[in-house]
Amino acid sequence: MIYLQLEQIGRDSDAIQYNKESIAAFFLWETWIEISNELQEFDGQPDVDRRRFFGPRDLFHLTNLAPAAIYLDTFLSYVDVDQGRVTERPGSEQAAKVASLCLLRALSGADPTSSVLEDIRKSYLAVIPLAANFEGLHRHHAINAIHAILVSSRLRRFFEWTGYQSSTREHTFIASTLVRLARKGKQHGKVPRWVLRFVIHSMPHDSQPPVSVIIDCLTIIAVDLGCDMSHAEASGLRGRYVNP
Amino acid sequence: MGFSKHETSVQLEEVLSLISEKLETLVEAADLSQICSKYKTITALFPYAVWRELNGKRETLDSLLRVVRSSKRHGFMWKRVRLLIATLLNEESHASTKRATVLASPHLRWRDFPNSRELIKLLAAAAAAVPYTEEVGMSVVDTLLQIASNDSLRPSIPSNMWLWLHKRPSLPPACWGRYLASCQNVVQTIRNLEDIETLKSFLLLVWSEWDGLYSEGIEEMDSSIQLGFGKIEMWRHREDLLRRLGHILDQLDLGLEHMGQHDPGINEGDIQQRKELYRAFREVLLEVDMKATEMLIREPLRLTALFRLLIHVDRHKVLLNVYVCDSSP
Repeated sequence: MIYLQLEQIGRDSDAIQYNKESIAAFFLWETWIEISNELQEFDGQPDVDRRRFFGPRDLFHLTNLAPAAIYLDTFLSYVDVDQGRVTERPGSEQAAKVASLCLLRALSGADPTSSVLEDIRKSYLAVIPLAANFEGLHRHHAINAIHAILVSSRLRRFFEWTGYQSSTREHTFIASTLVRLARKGKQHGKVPRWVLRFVIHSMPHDSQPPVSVIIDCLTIIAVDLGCDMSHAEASGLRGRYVNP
Repeated sequence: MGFSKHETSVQLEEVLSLISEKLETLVEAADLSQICSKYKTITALFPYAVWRELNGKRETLDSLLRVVRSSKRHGFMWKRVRLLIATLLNEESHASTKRATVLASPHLRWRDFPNSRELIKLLAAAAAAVPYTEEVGMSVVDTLLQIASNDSLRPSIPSNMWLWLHKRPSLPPACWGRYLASCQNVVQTIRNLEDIETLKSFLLLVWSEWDGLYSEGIEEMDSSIQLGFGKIEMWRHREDLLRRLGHILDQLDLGLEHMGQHDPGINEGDIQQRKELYRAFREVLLEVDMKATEMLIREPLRLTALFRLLIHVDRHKVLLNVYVCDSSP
């Protein structure tokens, strides 16, 4: 029923604008299901039957909307900005977190030189100042990462992972997202340094994160060193990085 | 599609193997600019390499250190590992992690640590707690000489740490400690320790076909030889030093093609300059030796003492005969 409705909306740009929030909420939910599935695979838990769902990509294709733009709009609708300090609206903590993770995932797949990314950057900076303070957010590292992607390289130098603690699933999600970002970065020069800082933060010498995070961190290193990953990807790594 | 523990483990080893192969390729290609441009990425592997070391898998750390050593870059390790280093040097950490830190220590910028003085003491303690190997000795000596070359850090070196010089490990062609420690202040400091074995070991380590020396350091070494090794009973030390100089000059005589295999940046001018430098040291030592011999001839009592000493040393019978012949009326 929802999909038929979306298909109709997708043919009408006014309807898209009018129903944007509902569509975005649905996209978020769908993406979260897909992400959850992905995380469950790593934890060795049974798959949720994906046949029940369209992938978010199908939905975006139907409606001609850029996923990152939707996620950004959604994220911005859940936060307040006061004198550079970004805080979640009361009761929106979880939604803001999901939206920021979805946005980060969408941005990690975007071409750094594309006009879409430039549009998103403009929309983002229209609300979030360059010197924004995210410490008021419940989980500020995902949005810090988004900030690092969307703002100038000079400010990226100050993005630290110190103090970053998350659930196993979120850690896994962020790590796999940063692998995608590392690949994009490498295609356009080199892997961003703040991504390498994540590697150092995530692989302490005395205790280890889940194996999938270690694989992702090592993959980031391998990508930046210019290793030929084709064989490794063919044997299974590729299946771990599904485009949104 | 789910991933079993076995599959993820295979994937992990596969990615790790790709990284190791790449690092080996970089070392074999001796592409220094490529290695140096990736110093942050290579360093990012260090915490995991330490973890593997702790679990008995040394190959990752070995692979990492090979590429770091081949870089010839001073302070190769990314400053991001500073906090980790401080933790690893902790007294309670495992011997394997201490070993990893000791091996990585020559590739850190010690002056950049906010608490360098404390860490140097911890490093000395960690080095003492690690089973000795040539690799460990090489790393400790390289680090010690680098720290010694820094005026503000030198006073923090515990006195017993200088004893590491006595082990005289073979230092690699690219060794920052060896080059930096040839400065005047370090030579003076070591001379002031008033331990002839330490002074000799220092000279044996710092003199090398792979490096020139600081000019002020050269003058200080000259006077150290004259003052420290001029006594008759120092003949054995003089012999060790002369043997070292002979080896260096033999290596330099092999020429540019031979030297260039290990140091692509070396040129004919460097080789000639080093030949002159080490020949000059040999002249100084031979002169000191000559004066000592003359003194020996003039002082029969000393000769008697030396005779008693030498009679127990079979391998120096020839030298004994020479001295006895020369002293006869």
